[in-house]
Amino acid sequence: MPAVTNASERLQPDAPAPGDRSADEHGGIAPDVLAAAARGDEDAWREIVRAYGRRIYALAKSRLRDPELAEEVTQSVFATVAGKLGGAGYEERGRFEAWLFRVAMNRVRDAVRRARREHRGVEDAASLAAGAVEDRAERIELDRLRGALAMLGEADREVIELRHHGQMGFREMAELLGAPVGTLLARHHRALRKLREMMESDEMHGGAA
Amino acid sequence: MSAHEHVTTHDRTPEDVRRVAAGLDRLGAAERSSADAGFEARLMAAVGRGLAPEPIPFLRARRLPIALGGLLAAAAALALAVVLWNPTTPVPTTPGGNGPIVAVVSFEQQVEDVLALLDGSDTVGDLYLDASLVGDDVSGSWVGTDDATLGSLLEEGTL
Repeated sequence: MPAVTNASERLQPDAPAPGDRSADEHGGIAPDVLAAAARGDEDAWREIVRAYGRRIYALAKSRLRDPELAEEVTQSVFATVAGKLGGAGYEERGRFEAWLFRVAMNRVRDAVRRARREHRGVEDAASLAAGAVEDRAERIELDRLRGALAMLGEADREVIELRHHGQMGFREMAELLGAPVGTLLARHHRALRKLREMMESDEMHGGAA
Repeated sequence: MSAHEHVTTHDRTPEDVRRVAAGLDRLGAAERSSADAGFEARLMAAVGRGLAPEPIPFLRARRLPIALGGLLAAAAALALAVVLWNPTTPVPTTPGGNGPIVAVVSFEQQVEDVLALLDGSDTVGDLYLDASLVGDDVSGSWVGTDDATLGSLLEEGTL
């Protein structure tokens, strides 16, 4: 690990170094593709769907724990975004990813609220489908991690899910959440530590058996 | 892994949480790959719906079929014709020629009644019913005439 100079830097797992374009490459859609999508170009939309579809879906599924509902929410997000991008609803040129994820998060929150109103559990549904992870030990491990994730507070969980399920960079997250990058990095690290402690505690109590 | 997938850089994650970060990366990847092969095609269909939205359901429900619209127009025309025809009917008078027995509803009032009918009617059946009631109202102008007068009118064949 390279020498670190301050706490903020130490906590930056993907802080963009000079010349590091990785954050732009994390699903960033070129302006000409967005312009073509706004005109209804099918290839442009195919690219946007390929770049973001499963990331939004994973985010929704992590929170809703229902594959069908997660897909329904994802479809609703893309229908909305298509309508707004083609019309006058999109004002944030250059920040498409943050805008898209904001729409997605709002839809997911609405779906969670609706599920609670209808007294449907969103946290206790089935574990990962066997097809998603072939290795049984790995599946058990990931299920434990999912269980721990569900016990995090809202703000911590949000950062974890945006980062690991939605594959957002911290800069994009900062735009989305309106918080400084350093704050989000610290929150991410704190959430990871909480998860680690929960996992260790679970192991001590035989959760891995 | 798609062209846009990237490996989260948990290798740059602080040492103490690296293992859990790696686990979360694998969890996220498992969730992303859990959607089936037709997932993107269904999203494209959703995009199509977003680009060309269907009419809002309640607006669509209020839209009448063309045939029904034609029927409504015909019924309205019929109702109007019934009302317009009535003032041309000779106003009954008493045998002594002392003027009308009962004041028939004025033409202006009848037009207003028809307009009110058209506003309030939702179906062809309603219009027919309302049109027949207008006829009844006009005929009902005889109501209130005393029996003796009515008797003499009947004898004359006026009624």
